[in-house]
Amino acid sequence: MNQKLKLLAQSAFAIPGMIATAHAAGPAATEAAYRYSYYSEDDSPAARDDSGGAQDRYKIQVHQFHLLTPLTDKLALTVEGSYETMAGASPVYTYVPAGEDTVYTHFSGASQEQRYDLNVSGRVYGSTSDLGVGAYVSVERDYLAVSGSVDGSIALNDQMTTVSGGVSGGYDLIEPTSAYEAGSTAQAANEPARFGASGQSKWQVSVFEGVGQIIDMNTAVQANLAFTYKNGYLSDPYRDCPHAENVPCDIRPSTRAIGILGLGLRKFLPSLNGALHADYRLFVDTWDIASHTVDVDYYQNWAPNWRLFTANDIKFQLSPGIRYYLQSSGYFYEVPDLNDSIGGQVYNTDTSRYYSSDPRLAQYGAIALKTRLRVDFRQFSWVGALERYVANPEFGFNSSEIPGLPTFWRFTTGLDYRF
Amino acid sequence: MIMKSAVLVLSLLILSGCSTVSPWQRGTLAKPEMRWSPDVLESTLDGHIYFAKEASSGGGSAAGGGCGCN
Repeated sequence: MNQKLKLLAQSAFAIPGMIATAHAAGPAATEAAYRYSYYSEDDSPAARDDSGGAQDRYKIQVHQFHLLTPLTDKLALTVEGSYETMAGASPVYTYVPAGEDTVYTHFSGASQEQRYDLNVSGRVYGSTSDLGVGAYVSVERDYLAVSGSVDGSIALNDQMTTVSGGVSGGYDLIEPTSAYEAGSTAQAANEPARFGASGQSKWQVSVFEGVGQIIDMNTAVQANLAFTYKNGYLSDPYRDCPHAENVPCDIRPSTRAIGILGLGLRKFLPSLNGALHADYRLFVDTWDIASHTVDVDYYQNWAPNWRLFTANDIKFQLSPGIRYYLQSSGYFYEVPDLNDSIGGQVYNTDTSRYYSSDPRLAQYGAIALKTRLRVDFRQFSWVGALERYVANPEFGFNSSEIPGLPTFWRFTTGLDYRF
Repeated sequence: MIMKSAVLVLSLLILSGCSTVSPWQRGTLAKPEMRWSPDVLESTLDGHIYFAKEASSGGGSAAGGGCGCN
């Protein structure tokens, strides 16, 4: 099969109804991809950092690889992995100090940490359906996560409609104290959260169902529902603070049920030779967190009709996008006011109630602006992307201060190869 | 229940408004930029970062693997 035919067949499998037009049921070509990303958070806000000055927040470098290869005409294997290194300060706790009425956040710097993950999946293709199984593992010094999944889809209604569904299960093991001393009363008093979390675990199950529908020659839509249930240690073990009396500063419920509704639209605009993407996600959970996420992207193609470009299949694609995120607060989110406590102790031995000052559980909004450039050259593609993400309580219609919310840049570059 | 009803109503509206598009008319729909996730590695990293920085995660598939970032 020549290269152009391979590419045509490969892209055709993304759309129900095209399967019958290709003489193989699975992917026709192997695709390999590599991405390097640099993620850099802005410094902590000097006026709200209780260290008295700005600190370097997280800097993360991520290497990702992806390989999709057909094993037979009806069976394909996908291997995806990543390696990341990270260092920098992150928010530990937020509070109002005694004698003041201003919210401060305590940030703590982390030495360089590493994380590896690997995701392997296989997929069997029928004439109008497919079935896949996958396994995932993520390894960090203090955290191990494993999961498995099964999913499938079937094309119906003259292959205008695709119904998909799947289930997954996962298990996470936490070991936040590298020098854990079993039975140590001193360690239990100094680092109650880390000590208590040692060897703790959580598990989760998730199901989803979705429907994709072709509307016309240029338009497709989809809707999906997902439900996830988590059980186990769901607190953050790294939030020990001085205004707690030998108890953690972060105690969350041990269960969390999540429901998600997703809607998507893909619209090709022939007059512009571009494609519009619009996605919406509604998220609700039993922690009283509800969020709305809207993603809009536009993919503009440009293939110069000049000899050098046409002879080498050189094409360009510029893709700007915007994402808006809005979430409500978790019901146990609170910023403790030390003016209201006796002796500066807010949390005592009563650990039967839930509390957390994690800014990620606050009411806020976030706006992300992205732009990507893709350059195709024969069977190669170079990809570059830049993202600016700003989280702010005012974007979420909240007038409170939340100094720990992140603002970051992300830069990505990489190469795709099809053969 | 509300979400299921919304999806059902939406599905009926969509189905009532479409006409059959033959396989040979689906060249545009098969373009890479019309995929639900045009760049699989970008989608993976997006999910990982937003999972680490926000209280919400997940979406178009069953929840995947976790990490110590949240």
